[in-house]
Amino acid sequence: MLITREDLKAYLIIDNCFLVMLTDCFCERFASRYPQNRVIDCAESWISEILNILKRFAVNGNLHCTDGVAREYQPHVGSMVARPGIQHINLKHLQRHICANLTVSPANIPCSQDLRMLPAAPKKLVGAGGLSDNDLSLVWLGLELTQTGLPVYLLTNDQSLLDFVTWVKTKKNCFNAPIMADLLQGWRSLTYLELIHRSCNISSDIMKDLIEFALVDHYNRVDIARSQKGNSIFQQLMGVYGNFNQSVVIKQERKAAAA
Amino acid sequence: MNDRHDPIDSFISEISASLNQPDPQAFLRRVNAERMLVLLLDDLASELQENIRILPDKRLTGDTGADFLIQVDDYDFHLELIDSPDGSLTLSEEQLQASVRLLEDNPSTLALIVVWTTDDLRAIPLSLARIRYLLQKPNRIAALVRQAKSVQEVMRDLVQRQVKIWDVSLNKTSMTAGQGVDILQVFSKEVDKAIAHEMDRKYRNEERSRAAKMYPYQTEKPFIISVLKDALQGVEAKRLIDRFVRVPSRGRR
Repeated sequence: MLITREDLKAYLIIDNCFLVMLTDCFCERFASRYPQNRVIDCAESWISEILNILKRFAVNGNLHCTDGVAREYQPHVGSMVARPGIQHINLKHLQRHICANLTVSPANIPCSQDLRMLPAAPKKLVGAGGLSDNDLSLVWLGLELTQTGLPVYLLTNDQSLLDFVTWVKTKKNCFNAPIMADLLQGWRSLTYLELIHRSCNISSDIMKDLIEFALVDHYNRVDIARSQKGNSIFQQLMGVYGNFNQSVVIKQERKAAAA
Repeated sequence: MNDRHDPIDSFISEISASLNQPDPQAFLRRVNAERMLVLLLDDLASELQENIRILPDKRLTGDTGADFLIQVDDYDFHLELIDSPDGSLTLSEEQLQASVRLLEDNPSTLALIVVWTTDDLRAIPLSLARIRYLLQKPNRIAALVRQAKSVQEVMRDLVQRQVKIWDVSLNKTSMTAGQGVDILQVFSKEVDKAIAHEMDRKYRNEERSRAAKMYPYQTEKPFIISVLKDALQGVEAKRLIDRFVRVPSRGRR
């Protein structure tokens, strides 16, 4: 599939877990390359670089978020805390710096809660233990932005949020015009970044680091002791690298064609 | 819970879709259909209280596989997604031809479920016999496609058809004051009929056929009757349940 910049352009909404992924990726894969006193500066510029790339794909140049979700981005309780020489105050600075990249709107909690009441809403997603009000505030923000008639992409790594957005899309009749639920699309952050990479806007090195980080992070979380898990991991690695290699080839072909 | 919730699996699946689908809209339809499919099957698993697993089939078996392998108890289905850009449902002879080998190579597969990427995921189940029939009479394909239902309905029908329902239709004989119904006798007759029906059942799968032949129907009958006798004599339900649960459940792993 050939993907152009226009295909990826939309109003962009960013979930906290996407910011956490970038922060943790920097911490795990790059932080050790820098002197202790420069780690925070370098983290800020590395994450901002990626967010700036995303802004180029936002129709209005903004990365939207709600205040409740933006507050959930707390590097001072994440993996950066464990780095030697990093102070709490430094991480607070990182938080402010990264959040300054976002266009933050107040979370409309009553409307977000109404989403739980939509007919036949999947209980697993809207019931106890499912999505939080803050999660749903991003969906409501997305629905509001669809009133412009342009596509709205919500970038997240939260499977429940992705599933809910996908479900809401099919319930367009539940919303009054000018809201157009079918214009809202949930994207797995890594997938969206990979397609940006393929359109020659992110370097293959950065993309490789992000994918490797996601794999390692995932395997650290799952129960490796499960039967056949080793085999499954091997298959996943083959899958990821097979796909990534094809993607790099597509990118090189596009570069050659452009030259 | 099913294996498609693995975020890395979903990521691989999405990137594969981005490489294989012809255009960005087809890619998004595919990604959304996959997410909806997992949601709907999760709901169905809760509703039917069955353990339904959905696995990426092509990654397990290579290009000859379907898009997904759906395992339910001791049987499975394969599921193939077909893009539906304008909401219309189309099925070609080539697509049917490609499915023949899949079903021939997987005798434990009950059906291939074809699912279109519409909002409500319209679907039809295809058995090997049905595909062969359609390949001989391709003019019947359109009629079959018109019968498409939501994938949830198709799956529910298929799963429920596999559950053995002991449909004991007791004769509603008129009772006179002096004539009581011998429940034990009526029940015993119905058990006999059910056993005869089971022993008469034809299986396509050789393993199932062998297992059915080896099942000790005739020794199970006295056990069932003895439990009924106890029940009629007023033995506590809990004690009866205890006797039943000592028998291994069918298909439990």
